[in-house]
Amino acid sequence: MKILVPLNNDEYLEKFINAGADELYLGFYDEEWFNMFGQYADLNRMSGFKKNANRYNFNEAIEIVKKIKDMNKKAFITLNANCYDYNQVNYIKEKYFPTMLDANIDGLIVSDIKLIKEAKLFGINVVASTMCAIYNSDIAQHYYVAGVRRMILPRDLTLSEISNICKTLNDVEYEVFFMRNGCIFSDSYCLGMHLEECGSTCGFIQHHRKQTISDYIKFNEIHDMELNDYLYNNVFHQDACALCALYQMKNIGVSCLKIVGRADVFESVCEDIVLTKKNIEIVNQSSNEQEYLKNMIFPKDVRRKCKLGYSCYYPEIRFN
Amino acid sequence: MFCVNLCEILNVSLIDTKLDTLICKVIATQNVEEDSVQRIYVGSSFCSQYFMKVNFWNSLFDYCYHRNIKITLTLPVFSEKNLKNAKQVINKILTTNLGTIDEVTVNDYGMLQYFSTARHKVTLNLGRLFFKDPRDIRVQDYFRSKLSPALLSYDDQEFNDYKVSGIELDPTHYSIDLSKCKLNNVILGLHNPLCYMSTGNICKYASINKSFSLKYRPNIECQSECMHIFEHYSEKYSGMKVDIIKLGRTVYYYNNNPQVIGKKVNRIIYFPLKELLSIKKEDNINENISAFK
Repeated sequence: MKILVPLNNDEYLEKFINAGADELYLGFYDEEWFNMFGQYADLNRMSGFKKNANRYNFNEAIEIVKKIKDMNKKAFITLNANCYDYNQVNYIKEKYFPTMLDANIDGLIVSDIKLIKEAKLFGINVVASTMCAIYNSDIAQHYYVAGVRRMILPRDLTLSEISNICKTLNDVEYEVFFMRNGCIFSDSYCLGMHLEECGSTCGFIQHHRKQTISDYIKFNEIHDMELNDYLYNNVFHQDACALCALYQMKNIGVSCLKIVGRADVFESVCEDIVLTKKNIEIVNQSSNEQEYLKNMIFPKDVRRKCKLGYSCYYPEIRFN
Repeated sequence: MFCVNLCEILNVSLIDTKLDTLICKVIATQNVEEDSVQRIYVGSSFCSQYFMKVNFWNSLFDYCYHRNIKITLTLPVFSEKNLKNAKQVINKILTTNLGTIDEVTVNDYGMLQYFSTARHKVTLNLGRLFFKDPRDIRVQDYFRSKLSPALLSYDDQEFNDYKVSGIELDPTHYSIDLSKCKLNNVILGLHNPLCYMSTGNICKYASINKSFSLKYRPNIECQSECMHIFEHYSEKYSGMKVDIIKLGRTVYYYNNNPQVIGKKVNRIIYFPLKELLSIKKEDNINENISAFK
């Protein structure tokens, strides 16, 4: 299993690789894009975070891709905005595709089926972004027919569902979310904007006053509803981690573990890479799941993080 | 055409006792003619658990058959664990509906592919989840701009291949510009008054009755807790009050009357939340539960 890591500052490239990163992905910004399509036209999913998430312009990003490849690691670029219209797809084809092909990027992470088809026609390998909402094997089949051979599965699937999808199309590389950020909504169907002026939709829902309208009238019903709301807003998915699921992931045939956090602090991302790498070594030495679960290394804030499965991408491993 | 969208909210007790009342209230509040509700949308755009738990099909078919109301069956995106059973349920619904269902709305490419090759005699709509343009009433500059839906900027060959007859748009912006839309032969439906903004597989309400360590799992079985609760957020952004609703797994905002430019809207798909609440109020709903924040 490979470790895929976000790169938002090339000063960290060598450190990430030394920590254990096998593959790196990055986005970029393009002033001309925004001039042409407007300030709210996302170029990728993290465009709302501006240069915090996409520090480099396209040419700089391509130079970093070359640097990554010179270090014998794989490089991916993200163009995974919710959707692109006809003119935007044409812009991408004309402005970015030839250079991407020349740079021999290992994959373009794409959300939009129209862009996927164009990239394939151009000869660029595509990775179906989590924005493609591959929630079942029929949807996976659709992207497979379009030529996709690497898919990022949504973070709100169970391991048994992932296993079934992997079995259905077994010549596909599957990538799963592994460390750092959970989400209370679906990446692919969360269409609210992530901007400084409004914050994310999930942040809004979790942290703003609301009026709850209900026909619960008994004390216990109201108590359970309010406690559930409190835990959801304050405890659930403050972090996310899939370390305990590593043994099953290996058996399922997951190819790549995605550590997210393009706008996160470098040291923290680096710690997660090291931890993941060490646990992959432990998995490879373990003869069964119990042995792995006994010997694995937990995150350093285990006392807070590993409670009730609320920071687990796959809580079914420990909490059943 | 004026249609009533009962997706996510219809249940047995509503059909048995109050569906006539609900539809009468809609006719009154929306000021439409008495016999104008000839189509309802039933099922779910967002929640496979809701869809799989529906147990009112026969009562509904009977209700619609005797009132000459047609049904658009709306299908959510099914997670892998539900996919096989969902297809069986759908096939059963489509073979026992007394001719009331003449349309199916799909919300993902897998189901679109399935229906384009299935033998059911129904027409096919692209549901609201196919249209993924960003939308956010909190960003007033953007909300007040004109949206041209990205998917409609392409030619309609792919839609023809899949035999799509209709599309469902959300009222995402102050105005929606379809003047460059290349689709000519599809029925254009516009949801009203709520625009879907975000949804997902993790349902907060489904966790209310779960033990602590089993809460907030994706797509967990539930006791239809969402039938008992909804949340209303009201905030000012750029000086304008916005109303955001959380119903089931989904977050919506109100956008009552978007302008649609360049194409005629063939159907208004009206979601009667206001009318449903007024019925519930008559049943002594507990409306003033304070939230923690």
